Amino acid sequence: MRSAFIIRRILALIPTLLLIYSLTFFLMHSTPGGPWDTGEKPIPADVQERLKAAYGLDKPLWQQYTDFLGKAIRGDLGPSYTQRSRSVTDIIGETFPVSLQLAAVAVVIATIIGIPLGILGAVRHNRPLDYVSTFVSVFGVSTPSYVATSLLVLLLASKLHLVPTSGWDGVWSRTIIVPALSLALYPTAVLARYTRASLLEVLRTDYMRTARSKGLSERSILMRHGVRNALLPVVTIAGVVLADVATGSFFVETIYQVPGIGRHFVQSISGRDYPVIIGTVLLLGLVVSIMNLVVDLIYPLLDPRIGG
Amino acid sequence: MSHFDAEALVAAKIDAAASRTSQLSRRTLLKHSAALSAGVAGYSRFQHSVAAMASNRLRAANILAQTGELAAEQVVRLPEGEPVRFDPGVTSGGKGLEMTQNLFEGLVFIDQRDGSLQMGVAETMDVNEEQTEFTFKVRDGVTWSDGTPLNANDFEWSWKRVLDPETKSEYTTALYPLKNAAAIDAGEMDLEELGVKATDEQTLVVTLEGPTPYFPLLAATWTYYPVPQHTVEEFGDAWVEAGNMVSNGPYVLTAWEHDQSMTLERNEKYYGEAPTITRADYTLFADPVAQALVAFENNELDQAQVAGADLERVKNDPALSPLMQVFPRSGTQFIVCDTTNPPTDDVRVRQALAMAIERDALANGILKGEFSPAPTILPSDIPGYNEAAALPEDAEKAKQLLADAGYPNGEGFPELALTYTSTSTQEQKSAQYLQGVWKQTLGINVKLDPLEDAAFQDWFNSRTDQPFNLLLTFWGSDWGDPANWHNQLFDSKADFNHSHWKNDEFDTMVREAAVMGDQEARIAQYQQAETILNQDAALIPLFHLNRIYVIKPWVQGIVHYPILGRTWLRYISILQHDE
Repeated sequence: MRSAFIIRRILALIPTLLLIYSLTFFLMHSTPGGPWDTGEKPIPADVQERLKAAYGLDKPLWQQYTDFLGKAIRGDLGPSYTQRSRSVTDIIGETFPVSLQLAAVAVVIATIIGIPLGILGAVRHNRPLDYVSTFVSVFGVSTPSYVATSLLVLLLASKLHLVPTSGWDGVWSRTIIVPALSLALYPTAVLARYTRASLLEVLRTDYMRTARSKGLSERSILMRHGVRNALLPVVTIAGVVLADVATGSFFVETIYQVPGIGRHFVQSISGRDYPVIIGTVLLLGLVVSIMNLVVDLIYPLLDPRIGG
Repeated sequence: MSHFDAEALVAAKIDAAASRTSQLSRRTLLKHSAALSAGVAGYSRFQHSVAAMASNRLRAANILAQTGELAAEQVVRLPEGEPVRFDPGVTSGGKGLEMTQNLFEGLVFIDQRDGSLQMGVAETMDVNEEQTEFTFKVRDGVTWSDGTPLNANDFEWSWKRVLDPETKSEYTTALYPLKNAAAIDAGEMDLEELGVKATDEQTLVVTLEGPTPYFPLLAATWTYYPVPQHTVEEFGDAWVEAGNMVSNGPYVLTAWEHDQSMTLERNEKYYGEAPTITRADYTLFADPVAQALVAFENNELDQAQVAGADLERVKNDPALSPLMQVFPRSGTQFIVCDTTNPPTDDVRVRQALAMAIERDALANGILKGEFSPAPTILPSDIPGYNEAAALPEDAEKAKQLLADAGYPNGEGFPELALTYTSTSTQEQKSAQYLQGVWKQTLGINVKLDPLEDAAFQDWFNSRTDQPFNLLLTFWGSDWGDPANWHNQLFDSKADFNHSHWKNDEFDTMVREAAVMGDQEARIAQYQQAETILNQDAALIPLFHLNRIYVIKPWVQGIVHYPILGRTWLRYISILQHDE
């Protein structure tokens, strides 16, 4: 039963990705400007025509559509238009793991800070600690990531000289502090908020009153019954949030010079680097779809009433 | 080092360079009659006088460097952007050009300290009487950084490679002065017909389409660099990656972490004098102009550009403002009018628009002194520059002209659209200024039409047959000759900026001047052409470009020559410092 469900969901990925591909393709080609409109000097029209022909961009649009689709299916989109020494697969293969690593650290931070903050907010409802929890949530949700990153750079790098002003050196170096913190801001806020709201609801339920009347300690009730049930809706939102950070944040990666996929994606759009755009969009679409699938699979494990 | 000492130092360098250049012309005098060499020698003499004229106004070298002992570690840290299409035969400039110019060396190169032409991989350069054939003698014993010998064949192969459709170069037009190059590029002739032949291993004979006295300046640009045939054939497009790349200049590429950093180290096999700097660590930024300053302040970089909003802050910062230097850049921002679309088809309307602008208010006021007001199109360092060619700034005269054209006080004047690149802060501010001053002085309405980078280029390219009113653009000199401006951009056959401007007198003048042998007469003719160009106001100059940098005081010798103005590592040295 379960396996049929999984197979159906995986098969559903195909039309989803096809739709993503088609939309992106047509949006890409209806945007004015091409790959050679971004050099320092405008390139003469006849040179542009020759370059377009060399890259197959003068063929009729439907033919380019099928050509690109064929290449995408085979997993070989060819070289990037802006950096011919690297293939699209190379670029994605180098940048996506970086964004993933950064996202993983950010999510760990968000979980460690956000969930306890939400629990505290619910348990100390309408008391000072709750206000702190709410404040952190509002602050995290409303501060744009480029403001957060710039402020952190100003504080930690320029003033305190604790970290360099930019760079990437892997997960175990000082360079991860600023980008991970600013990337974690939004997820922390969201997790805190949802945990708090969900736990507040759970604390009011009948089965909690039953547990209390049984004479169990407040802590044991909270941990074994309260939090565990409250985490259900949080898991859903965590999946969405994880997909959001895993696809890379353009602002954080650009300001702090992290060689991730978010930054490269936006640059490939302004550079009209068609193969990279297609490759990135398909990958990110796949990531989001898989995250949704994973969340749907985890749900029944947490709540036996669902699925089965 | 005091200001006075620095001026003397620069002047001394220019004298030294001039004597080197006149040695070059002396050699050619020995081989040809006086008439033939008058061209090249006259050119060098003129270059000297231009350079001297320019040096009084420009400070090419970093004069704020202190005196002191050289540091033990000669390493410089610089910002740049991730190179796009990093291959000398492919790229049209832009990010990555700085590294290319330090990694490779052509037959000749321009000494960035004074603009003089220097012999590079070629030992001697001879030219025939008509200035249609240049013969270069390549130095003996020159090798690539991996020891493979480099000779005239490499140049022939590299130049042909640029025009090979397989290479997909975006700057084939740089080679058009060569015989048959344009025809080959259009697919009408075979690659073998290109006007370049290595008659033996040390001799390269270059045949040109027509008399081209400024060809040596072109031969110094990057499209004419040699590229290593053995690695290009082995690795294909990946030959530019660190580990594969082999070069012939003073430096080699030892590391390249994409979007992060690039390391250049001294080439032990370089034929010339070993430079002082042993290593350059480049940090690659998404937008070096916007992002490098913060890293500079945190002492992670030795130089950073200052532009736009940062300028005020840096000027007022007691730690940063002493480190700030303004380097003029050979280029102009100007308005292009569609001369075939009413109302800008009327020369009086165009002149009115030009005369109503107060360039000082724009460049020094609104743009906070980041740029210098440009009364004429040609920048002051290009021969042919003619201050007298400018239209005066005269608001009353402007109003009168507009009335003469049939629009007193702007009545009945249609709304004009002014199109420009939205991501350029200076264009944005200029457009807003123009809208305001024209409303105020002439009573006309202008609609602003900003477009994103690639969208603007696309729109711009389609103006060959689509009408428009006004657009903002700029041009930076590629080499120091008016042909790069008058012939390449404004000749009605070229019409690079799509103004559709056609002035027969101008066309005749500049086409004649392009092939004239007598340098002085030639430049005088370009000066006259400049007058026609500016008076007819198809293009209206706004300001000349500048590059403003903050440089650490322990860095000596950084030069930013007005043309292209990248950082050339071979002139730099690092003094001992504590930080």
